[in-house]
Amino acid sequence: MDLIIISFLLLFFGAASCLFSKKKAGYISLFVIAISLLSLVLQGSSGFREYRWVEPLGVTFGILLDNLSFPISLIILLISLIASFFSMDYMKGKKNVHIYFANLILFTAGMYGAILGTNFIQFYVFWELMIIPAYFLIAYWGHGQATKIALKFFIFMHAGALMILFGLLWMYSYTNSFSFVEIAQLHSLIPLNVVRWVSLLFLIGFGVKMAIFPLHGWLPDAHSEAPAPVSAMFSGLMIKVGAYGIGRIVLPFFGFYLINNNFWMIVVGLVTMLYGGMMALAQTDIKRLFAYSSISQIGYVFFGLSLMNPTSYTGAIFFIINHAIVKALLFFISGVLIYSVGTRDIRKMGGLLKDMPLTGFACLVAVLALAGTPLLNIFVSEWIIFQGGIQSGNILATGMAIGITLLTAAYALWMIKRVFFGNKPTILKVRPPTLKMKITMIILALLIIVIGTWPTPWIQMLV
Amino acid sequence: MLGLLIWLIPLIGSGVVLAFGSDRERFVKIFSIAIMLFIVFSSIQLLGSKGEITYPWIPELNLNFGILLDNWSTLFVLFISFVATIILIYSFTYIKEGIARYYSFFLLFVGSMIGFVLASNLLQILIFWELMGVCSYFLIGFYYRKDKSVKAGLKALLTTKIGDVCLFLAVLLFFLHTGSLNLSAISSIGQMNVIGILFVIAILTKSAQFPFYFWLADAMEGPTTVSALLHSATMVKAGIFLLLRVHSLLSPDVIVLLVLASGISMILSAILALTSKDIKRVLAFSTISQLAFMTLGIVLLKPSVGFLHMLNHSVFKALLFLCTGIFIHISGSRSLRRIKLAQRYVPILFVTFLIGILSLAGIPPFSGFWSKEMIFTSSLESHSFVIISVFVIGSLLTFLYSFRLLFDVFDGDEGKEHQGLMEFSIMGLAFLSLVLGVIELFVVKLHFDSFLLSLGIIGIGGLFSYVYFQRRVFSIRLPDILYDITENEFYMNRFFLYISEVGIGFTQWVYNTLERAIVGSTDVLASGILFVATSGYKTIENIIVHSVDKTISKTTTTLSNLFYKMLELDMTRMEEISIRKLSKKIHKLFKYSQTSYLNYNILAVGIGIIILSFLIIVL
Repeated sequence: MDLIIISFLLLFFGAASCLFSKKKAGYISLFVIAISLLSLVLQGSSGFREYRWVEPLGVTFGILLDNLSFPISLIILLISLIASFFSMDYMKGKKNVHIYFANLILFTAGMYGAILGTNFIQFYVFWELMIIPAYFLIAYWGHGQATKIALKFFIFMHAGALMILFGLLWMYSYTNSFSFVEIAQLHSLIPLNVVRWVSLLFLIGFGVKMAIFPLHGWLPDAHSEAPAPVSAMFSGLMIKVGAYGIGRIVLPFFGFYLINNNFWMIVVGLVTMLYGGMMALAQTDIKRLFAYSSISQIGYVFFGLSLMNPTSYTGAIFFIINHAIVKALLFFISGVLIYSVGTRDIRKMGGLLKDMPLTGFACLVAVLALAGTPLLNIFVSEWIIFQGGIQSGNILATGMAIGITLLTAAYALWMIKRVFFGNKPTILKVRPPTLKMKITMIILALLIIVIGTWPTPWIQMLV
Repeated sequence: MLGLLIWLIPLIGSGVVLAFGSDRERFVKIFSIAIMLFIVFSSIQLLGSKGEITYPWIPELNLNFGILLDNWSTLFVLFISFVATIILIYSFTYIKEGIARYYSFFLLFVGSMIGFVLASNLLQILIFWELMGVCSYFLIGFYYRKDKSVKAGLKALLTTKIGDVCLFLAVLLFFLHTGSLNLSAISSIGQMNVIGILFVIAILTKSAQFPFYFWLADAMEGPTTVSALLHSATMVKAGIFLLLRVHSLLSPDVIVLLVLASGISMILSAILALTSKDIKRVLAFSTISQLAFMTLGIVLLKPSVGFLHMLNHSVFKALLFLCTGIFIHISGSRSLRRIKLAQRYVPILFVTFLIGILSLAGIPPFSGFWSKEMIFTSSLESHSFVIISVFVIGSLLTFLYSFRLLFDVFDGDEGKEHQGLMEFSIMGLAFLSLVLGVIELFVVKLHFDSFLLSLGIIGIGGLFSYVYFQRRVFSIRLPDILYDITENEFYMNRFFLYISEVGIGFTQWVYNTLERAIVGSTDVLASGILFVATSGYKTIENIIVHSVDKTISKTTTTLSNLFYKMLELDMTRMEEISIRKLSKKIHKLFKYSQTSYLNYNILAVGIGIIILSFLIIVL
């Protein structure tokens, strides 16, 4: 426990020291995140500890590790570690890289702190904290109209956060407690008509972060215009923190009410996966395609959570992990393509398998995993979600969700066809990816295969 | 254990080949042939063994891998391993680029096919079913620079993915109703229409029957070895094998549907095999027709007759494909107009091809004859005119297109022998086919009436094809519209292409309207807030800050002026006056302390000393 808190504080220290070390910032970020990861692994999958924080208000800083927060924080640190490793080559030559790394560490720390939180105050503080470095990462190192997109991102995130703040204060007026543990016992104090509105507030608040269908407007721009490693963290990790919020707050506290009113949640989940898939089919920009694919995939997570069934809940959490790996790999690949070919436009690419065989195969593995190919990781989580869906009696909805995997296969493989197969345009010059990029892709692709063929330890972590 | 290793080792091997095989051609070939030989030996070892073994995969969810050894699975695995090994040897000379890719996916495919056949539960069936589809995608699109073959691979994958989705749902529903994924639970579930229809769609997509037949013909864009292994001998048979496993679950209504689809596909694809001008497409359509034949045999007659035909077909169709590979090699084209060989230049090729054709056409004593004979026997037992006529029409059409192919190909003067390993492997397959015919000679019981039926078909078919295809005594001029229909392969391809184009068009339309509106609205929101913030800042600055500024500064200046006027002027005067007076008073006061009288001074010094000493004593 103390190890985790020390390593957590080390993250902030690392972020501060990045500012003073222009050359070694990448290594510092690699080091502090690795230490955090290591101490998390050493701590193991369960634990609870609270430290005094703001004593006059009774606010504590706590660490809560259980079968929900441990796997998600594990994947957050893992992908952040890989992202900072990847950034060392990808961001080389950009201006103020040391500040970039400081922001990256703070971003990781924000997500990690929110996941570790034992109470609403801590959750909310770190929830807000993760937005700020993310804003700078887009605004300063992004492409296109970065400032405007970052502002839009910030406004949406903040609006969602305010919904959550409103909801939690409303809850507080009945329970007089911010602690998750206490609220779990006290939530019956909240009258039912308040539960209705509070749960809606939380769902919208988390839905904005997850980019559920009508609230997804910020995502395509933010994901596609951020630098590739940051996109990988956005899509792989940040939007999953919203899903974590649903798993941590909405389901335990309001599940008793929502379980009989989850029809619209299921519909929203289905529409999100269908809509995201359709939009991905229409894209010509590779990062935008992956961004819409994230919307579609988060629809599966939302679907799994909204079925309110223990099996599909496990599946949804497992899906979060698997999708984080797959989508991070895909965004890293988009970064490799930007680095090597210098374009994001799918129409300008083609036949790259010959010059970039490793990238091509890594992309194939990721894309096939996305399409739900067995023995790759996403298949297992899809199976668990759908098994829960069938068991909970939502047969039609589950059938539709399974059918939408066809759409996933269509857009993903069509992208592969346009980028890696066919003939290479003669004007396309290919710069070989660096060693660090290759290592990144190999690690993630292997992880996809290993989890897909041997998911047992991960599932043991979740169940 | 062998039942597990037989599919696990090729799966692992495929990873090894892909990871370490690039630029190591020799290693890859030796490695993969070693694995194939292992498979052959273990499949011989497994033959005849019975039983079921379960290996846990995800114990928390009760998901397992299981091996079901029975006559069907062990026999089929034996056939797969023999055919695949021979095709692998053929590939050594046939495949010249992308060695690591090719052999890796070859092994992956073989592993998944065997894993599928040996599966004892539906989850494993689903897993390997989809993996086979992925291998098929890769191997069809093996020549990835050719747009056509990549498209064909994508089409194959997406079409079979429809079946995958149906199978996925069927397996889940099966699980819901029985609480188990095991194949042995099939007997307990009874006949379920929904599950049955889902299984049927899966079967139809995988075995490329109507209305999904179009992907198989396009799959011929892949290397010929791939067509031989996946798209005739093994993978498309997975649909038939699944049917064998689940046929007891199908209700009569579902069977009617399946029979209709298979009947249509049998006739349509036979017609296309008769009219197509691309040799590989002819074989592909013939495969579809034969697959439909097997399906009908299984659901209308006995499963075992369909199964036997499936085994025979996998050998002789692989043989025909491999021969075709050499034809294409010799003449450099797939068009039947260009492939014009002379049997005297290529005697071995001719004989082996002839063996394949005779088996396909069902001429005794070649292998295809015996399974057809069994089908006729049991169809005569059914005493149903429709059933008998379906099989008679099917085999008559088969006879016609096989001889059409033979006469079309060996009708010229091209040819060169000595194809090395390729020739060796077709001889191996031809030998295998002959051996099968001989074995079945002793196994299959010949019935007089069905034998008569076969002879009748052979007589009529032989006469017609000799007169029409060989001698070309007369020619039938088809109406143009029929010609168009066959040229477009009954428009199903176009239909699905149209649907997909409409779908993509629709998504683009939605993207350009709804999605742009949503993202645009967020943009508007963002810029609106930005505008409000900036302009608000300006207004506030102008109105509030400035006015406050002004008022403050004004009031201060006026006040200070006022104070200045009121006070300051007077103050200075008053100060001047008072300071002057004060200093005069002080001057007067201290004037007396500075007199020049000594007495005063000494007195003062004395007082000072007293005070000091007093202070010292006290302190």
